[in-house]
Amino acid sequence: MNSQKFLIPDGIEYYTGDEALLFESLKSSTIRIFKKYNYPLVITPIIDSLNNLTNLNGDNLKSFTTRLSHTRDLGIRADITPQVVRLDYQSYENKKSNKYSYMGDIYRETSSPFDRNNPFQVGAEFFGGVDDSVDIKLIKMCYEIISLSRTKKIVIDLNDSFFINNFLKTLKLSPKCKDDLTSLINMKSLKEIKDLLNQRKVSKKKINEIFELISLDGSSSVIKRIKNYCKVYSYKADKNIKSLDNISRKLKNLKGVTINVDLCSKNSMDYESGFNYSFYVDNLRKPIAVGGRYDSYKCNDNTIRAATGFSIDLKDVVSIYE
Amino acid sequence: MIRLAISKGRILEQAINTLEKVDIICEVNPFNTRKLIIPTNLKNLEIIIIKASDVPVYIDSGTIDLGIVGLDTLMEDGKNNHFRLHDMTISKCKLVVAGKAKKKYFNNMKVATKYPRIAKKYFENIGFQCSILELYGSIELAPVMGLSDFIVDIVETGKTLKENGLKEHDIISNVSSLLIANKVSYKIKRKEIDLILDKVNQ
Repeated sequence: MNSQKFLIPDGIEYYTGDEALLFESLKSSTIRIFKKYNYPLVITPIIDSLNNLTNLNGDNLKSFTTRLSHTRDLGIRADITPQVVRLDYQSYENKKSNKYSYMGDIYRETSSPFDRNNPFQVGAEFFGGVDDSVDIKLIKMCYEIISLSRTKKIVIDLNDSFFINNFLKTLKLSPKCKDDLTSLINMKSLKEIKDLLNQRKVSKKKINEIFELISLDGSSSVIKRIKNYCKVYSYKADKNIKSLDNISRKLKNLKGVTINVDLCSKNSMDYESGFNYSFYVDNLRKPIAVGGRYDSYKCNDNTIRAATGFSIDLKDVVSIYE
Repeated sequence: MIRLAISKGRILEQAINTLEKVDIICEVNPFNTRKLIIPTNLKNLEIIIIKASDVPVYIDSGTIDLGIVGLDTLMEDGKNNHFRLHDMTISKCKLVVAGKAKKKYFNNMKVATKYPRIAKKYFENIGFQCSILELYGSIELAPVMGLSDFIVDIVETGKTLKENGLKEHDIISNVSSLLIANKVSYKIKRKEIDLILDKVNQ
C-alpha cells in the first residue's frame, strides 16, 4: 500500500468522538424544535439541477453554487432554501400557506481561512400569507436552536431593507457605484460615503439622509427616531415601522436576548427584500443565524409568492457549545 | 475585555498621543518595551501592537475587537467584516500614481507598488491594462531605474517624489487612520465600545 498523508482540504471538518455525538444530539434536538413549531421536515439532495439551486433573485446564490457537470447542468447546493422554494412551487395550491424545515450539508467556496466550506445548514421557511406572527415564531424557533449551545448572551439585530433600498433607488447610480456604496454603508464608513457621493455630485441633503439612516442603530428605542426620519424625508413606511415595533416588543422577554435595530446592516443572502434579522453570539466572528422575508416566485396569476425563513450553520452551534 | 490593535510604525506614535489626550493611557510605555499586549488605565481595555497588514486579519477573525489602521491597508486588504467607526484624522497622506513627468498611461504598462490590489483595480476602472510588480520598499526607485513605468504609493509631502525626478499623476484616495470594529464585537460589546468611541469623539 502506498504511504498517504490523508490530508483534509482547507475549510472542511471531520467530527469524531464526543464532538460527533454532540453534533448528532444537536441534530435530534433541532428536529424536535421543528416538530414543536409544526414545521414539517423535508430532505433534499446535496446535488441538484443548477436551476433548482439558483432559482431566487440576487447574485449570491449563483456565485456560491458550485457547478458539477457542464453536460448535465448539475451543481452542489450552497443554500437549501431554493430547493424548498421548488417544493412549495410544486405543491402550491390556491394561495394556501406552506411550512417546511430542513437540514443538510451545503458547500460554499470561500477565500477566508476563518470560514467553513461545508456548513451544515438547518432552517425553516414559510410560504404564503407572511405576517409579523410568522416571523416572530420563526425567530423564536431560531433562538431555541441557538440556545441549544447554552450560550448566555444573544443579540438579535432587526432590520428592514425597505429603508436602504428606497434611499438607493432615489440616487439613480450605476450598478457598480451602487455596489460600492452598499459595501461602504454596510461598514458605516461615513467619510468614504461622503467622498463617493460628493464625487457623484449627490446633494448635501441626500448625504445627510444616509448619515441619519446609518445612525438609526441601537436599542429598540431607535424605532421612535425612524418615525421622525420618515417624516423628515417623506417616506411612507408606517407598516414597516409597526412591524419592527411589534416584533421587537414580542421578542424582548426572551432570556439572555438583547434586541437591537440597525437599518443598515445586511448579512444575509441578497434575495431577502424586506424585514430581516441577524443573530449574534460571543466567540463567533460572524452572525450565527440570518433570516428574513423574500419574494420566492411568480405564481400563475402573476402574483408574487411571499416567503420568510432563517438558516443557521449547526456546526457553529457545536463550536460555541458551553 | 476590549482589545484594541494599533499598527506599528507611523500610526502608532500619533495614535498613542491621540488616546492620551482623551485619557486613555498605556500603563507601560509602548516604545520602551517588547511587550505586545499593553494594559491601559481603563480596566477593560488592552492595546495590542501589531504590523499594519495584520490588523485587518485579527479584526476579521474577531480575536481583536477594535483596530486603528490606515485606510490604505484596509483598501488593499479588501476584507469587510468590520465597521469603520471613526476617522482618527492622524497619519494623513495620499495614495497616488506617480511617474516621470512626461509619461502617459498606456496598455501593458508596468506599475510597481506595495498595493497590488488597489493599483490593479484603479487602472481597470480607468480602462488601462497593466502588469503589477509587487515591491516591498523604496518604490520610487522603480521608475527611476526603468523597472516600471509608474508607481502606486503613499505620499505625505511629495518631497521624495520630487527629489527623484518623479511627478504625482493622479490621486487614488486621501488616506488617514480609522478606528474599526469587528462587526460581532460591536454588536455584542456595544456599551463598552461606545464608551471608548465617545472618548475618542471628544
